[in-house]
Amino acid sequence: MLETLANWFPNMVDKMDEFWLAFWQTMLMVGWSGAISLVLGLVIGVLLVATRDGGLMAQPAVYQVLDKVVNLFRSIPFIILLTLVMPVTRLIMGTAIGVEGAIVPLVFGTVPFFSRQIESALSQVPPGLVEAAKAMGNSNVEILINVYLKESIAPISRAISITAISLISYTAMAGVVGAGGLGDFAIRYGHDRKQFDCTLATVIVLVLLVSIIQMVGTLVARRNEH
Amino acid sequence: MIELQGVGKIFHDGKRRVEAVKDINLSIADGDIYGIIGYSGAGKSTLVRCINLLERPTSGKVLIDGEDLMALPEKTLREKRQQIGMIFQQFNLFASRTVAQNVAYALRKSGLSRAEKAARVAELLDLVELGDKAGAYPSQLSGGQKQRVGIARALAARPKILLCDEATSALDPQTTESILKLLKQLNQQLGLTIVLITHEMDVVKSICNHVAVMEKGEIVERGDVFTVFANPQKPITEDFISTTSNLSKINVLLEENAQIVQIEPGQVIVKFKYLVRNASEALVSQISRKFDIDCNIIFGNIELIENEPLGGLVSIISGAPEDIEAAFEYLLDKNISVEVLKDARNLG
Repeated sequence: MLETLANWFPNMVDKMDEFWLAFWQTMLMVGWSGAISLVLGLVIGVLLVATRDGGLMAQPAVYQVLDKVVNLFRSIPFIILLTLVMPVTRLIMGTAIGVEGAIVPLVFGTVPFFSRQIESALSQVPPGLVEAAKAMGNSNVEILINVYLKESIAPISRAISITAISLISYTAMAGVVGAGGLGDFAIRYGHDRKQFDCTLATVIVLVLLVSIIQMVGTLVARRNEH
Repeated sequence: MIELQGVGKIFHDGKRRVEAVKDINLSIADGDIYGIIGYSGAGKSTLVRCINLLERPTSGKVLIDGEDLMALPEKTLREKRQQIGMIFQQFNLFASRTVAQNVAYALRKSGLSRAEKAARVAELLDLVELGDKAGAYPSQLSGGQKQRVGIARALAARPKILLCDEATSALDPQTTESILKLLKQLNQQLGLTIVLITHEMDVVKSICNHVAVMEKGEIVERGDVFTVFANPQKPITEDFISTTSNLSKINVLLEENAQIVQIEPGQVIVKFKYLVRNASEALVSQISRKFDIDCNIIFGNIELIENEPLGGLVSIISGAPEDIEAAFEYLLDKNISVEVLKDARNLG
């Protein structure tokens, strides 16, 4: 078994430590920026739905600002965003390089995308349910939590898996700011040193990772669809 | 007691100004079943939402038991709303919650313990005959069952008023009937005041005590259901009534000169209509006997409205002309309207 592996992946044998480090770096980036983006994205997505014209707490001015900011960041390619937000990263994290340096741009890249997904998930809640909750004496905050979010668990779960997958692909670019990660590993060995098996190993791990995320997302969504 | 005083609602849609409800004055007594009927766009949905302030009127006052709802602060208003149940055409159940959870949702602020809530939910589900569906999700229910859940949820917090927004319009006739029966039963058992908006006169006919007819944001006619049915004043009211009665079909038959309306010289086709609540006398037998005439009923439509017969009969009458005349006099005296549809008396 090990022999076969060594035959297929000759260059990987002496790089396992480095490979696991790269894997761990990817996990750190996905974990931290994912957790932060989840919270921020949910808040902004809910605000987008609540403040828009005809929304529960219609505040057209607030909506316009949020909407434009989200569009602005969504239109910047991630590789450019990585360097663009460096001053902000230094301000928040104290450094603009390494895994710490990558988390801020990853959040900037993910939150607008995720907010839109949440906005569209929550928009599917039938207005009649909101009306029914109001008629039962619910406050706006209660309606946002107990009706909008609760009724949207399935689409939100799908949005989370789509976002997590796109987040993983963003981390592949984080090598630019020296954050390492699987993408960086594949480029440095697989491409630069023409050790193709390193690229192949990276791809296999990424495919597995994405499949697991997709499976969990779909499972949670199915469990919450009635 | 629900009182609307000069209630108006103006919507602004861009530059367009839509006056959905105009200066409505309406009072609905406790324990009443009050129907508001109108075509779509008449403003009835807006009007019913003005009662619990889901739509805040732009003018006028909304009083529940003398309390001005529009003067209440937001928090007090939300508490007040729990005493006004509401059901909807599209049921509006929470798809992610089971039947029991949907009903329990309305008890969140009841202050009941978990066990008390469970008992109350079970009691409500029994009331709407869905005791066995507690664990089902709304998507597994039929339309009628969904509306029953809607009713159980609306009644959970023990409201005194139930607003029904086209509650049976999405249901088939049999299901509509069973839901209406349930509403009537709740009205009698719990003394619930029901305000019901609909575009179906059948609904009004089968359970309402009072009716208001709405057109272009205004109430154009109102009264107790029997009186409105017996003596409609406005064309729109007549339109609505004709949708539930087939008495007007006789006009088509006459136009086509169908076999059934062929009469011999000396005969006359008349339409008798009840105008007041007295019609349980054996009128046809009486006039036949008293005036020695023959009364051949060819067409009829008599229904019970508020437990009083209402409707009319189309008959071919034959007999001596003076006897027929005397019989008509007698009927008019009894508050039965007599309309001659086809007359062959002078052909004899």
